[in-house]
Amino acid sequence: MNTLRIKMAAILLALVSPLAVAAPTVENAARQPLNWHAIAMFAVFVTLTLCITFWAARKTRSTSDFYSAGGGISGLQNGLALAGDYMSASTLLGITALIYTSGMDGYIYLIAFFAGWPVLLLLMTERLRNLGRFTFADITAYRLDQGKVRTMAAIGSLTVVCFYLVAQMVGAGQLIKLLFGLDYKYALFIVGALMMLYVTFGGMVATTWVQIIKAFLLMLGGTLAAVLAMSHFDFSFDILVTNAMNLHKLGETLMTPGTLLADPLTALSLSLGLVFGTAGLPHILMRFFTVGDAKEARKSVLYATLFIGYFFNIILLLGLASIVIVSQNPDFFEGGVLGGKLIGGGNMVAMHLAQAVGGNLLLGFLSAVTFATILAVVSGLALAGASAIAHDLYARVIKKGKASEAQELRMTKFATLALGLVAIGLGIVFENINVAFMVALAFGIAASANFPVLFLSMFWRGLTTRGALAGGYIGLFSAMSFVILSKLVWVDVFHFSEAIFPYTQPALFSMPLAFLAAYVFSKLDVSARSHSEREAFDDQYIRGQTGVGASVAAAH
Amino acid sequence: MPSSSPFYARIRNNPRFTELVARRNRLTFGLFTTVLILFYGYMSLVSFWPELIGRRLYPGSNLTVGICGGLFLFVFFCLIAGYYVYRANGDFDRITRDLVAQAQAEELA
Repeated sequence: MNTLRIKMAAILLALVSPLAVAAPTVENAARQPLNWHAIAMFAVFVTLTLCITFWAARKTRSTSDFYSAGGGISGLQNGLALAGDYMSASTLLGITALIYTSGMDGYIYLIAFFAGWPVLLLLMTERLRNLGRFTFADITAYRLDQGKVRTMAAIGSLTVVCFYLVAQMVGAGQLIKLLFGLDYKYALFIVGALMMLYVTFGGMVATTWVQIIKAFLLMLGGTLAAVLAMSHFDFSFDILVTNAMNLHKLGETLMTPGTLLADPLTALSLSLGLVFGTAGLPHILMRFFTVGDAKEARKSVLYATLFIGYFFNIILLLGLASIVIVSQNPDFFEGGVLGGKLIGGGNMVAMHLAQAVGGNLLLGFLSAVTFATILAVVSGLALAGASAIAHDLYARVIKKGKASEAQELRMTKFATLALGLVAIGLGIVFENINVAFMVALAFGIAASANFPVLFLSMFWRGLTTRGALAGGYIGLFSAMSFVILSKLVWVDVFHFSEAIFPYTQPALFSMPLAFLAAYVFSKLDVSARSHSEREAFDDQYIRGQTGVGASVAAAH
Repeated sequence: MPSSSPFYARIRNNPRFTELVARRNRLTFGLFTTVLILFYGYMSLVSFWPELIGRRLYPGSNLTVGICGGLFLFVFFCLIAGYYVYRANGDFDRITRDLVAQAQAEELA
């Protein structure tokens, strides 16, 4: 049971956090020699994206440009950017490594991770676009008390962003140390500084383009490696699997599910957290406001679904191919001992495969793309955090909507710089933290604090301010408590012998709690205000269904 | 900006709006249930009948039920997404445009 939980945590990491997965194994990994191919290609990427930022800065004049690129991103572009947010470097590294060690389990996780997309399309996309403008708090607070509900939504956003950001930064530093041979602290400063440049100057336009370029490069690199690898097997999946089964220690059972999902409750909680946590991540939700209308928003989710589906199946090929190619090459093992410790740790499987089939050039390319991914994801998070601070807290709660455009825009820059410094600082302080619990917490909170209230505010007439506040705060605190009382923190960090909460995944319990609290408190609310709030739903409903009155693209 | 309450009321009172919502809800609900049943069906097999997931499609082949089922889910979910976008961006958006145009015409009249 314990090993199951540890494994679950590792996998969750692999799926959820672009980098976190590298952390546990990387800690002991020695610094690698400087990788010049990778550094040269990364320099090209940085130059290109800085040029784009410079171009974007001239286009970023209003708050609408900064938060949502003026609504001028096309469906295809936004689809690539969404896919970029989701296909992280460590989906590539982590899941390839998981398939390398456990076979079928890795593919099952890819499926679970993918299932959130049709759900997001069917339930959320249309109404999000029709009702929101810059942040998802726009929707939650649409007909409720602006001050209180926005504050609650912004706290939920910022909590998710901060935990996620720290996990990213810690993972980033360790991964970069490994891939490029750079010192941990330098890596953090480079990531932090570039992120601040992209976001403060280029806003959503630059962030989106960084994400688009990176998504394209990641798919290109993955496809190249997969095609080169498959050429070793006459492009036959059957030959590939036969070889893999012959060589792997699991043998015939390689393609049978292992222990990972043997416990149905943990599996259910994990998949709930993944599916609905995704629908509560502020930096993903924000992307729905960058397109012109609901039509483009739907298209963008369809494109994202196609790209992600394609890439996830590429990862299956990479994982299986590395069982045959990497595990038989003594060059990739410490001391040249086959089956011993992989050089650079378990997560380097995909990189070793790239070197084996494409030489130093492909290795350098994939390393550079990995670094680019870190930058792109961190930038998206910083932008989401800056929006919660400048748009929700500053402009709407503190200034009560009376802040001028210039004031609000200035606040976004301060907020971004502050978040960048906080991210670097926390990254240095928490160099050795268990990244697993940060990520579990971020996803648990997104699924419990953000998603239920957002969902109810769009679909349920009865939701009132009191209900929204109860649901949001109870979701937030229950998810945090469950993670703290679980093995990840209670045993691993505080060193108690027994975990109080038996599951590492809070979503199955904290999400229904949030829904229940929102329902009960709304039902009990008979104040005069609650009546007008329920009545206001009728107009909101028409707008959500038809898009009449929705914010329109920049020209407006 | 046609966002005042009377304008919304006109749309709400149009029987075609009720029809639009009913049709879209039916479609969304149907597809959503399909996704959930297929996904959790597959996951239950993984939890409760892992041998089936690992079983070969036919003797001598290394294609397993799990891989084929998984690939089917990937393709099928993409098709579901594509079909929904096709319907929503086609029929439903056309009805919506008509509704808005009608409400605007009524407002001018």
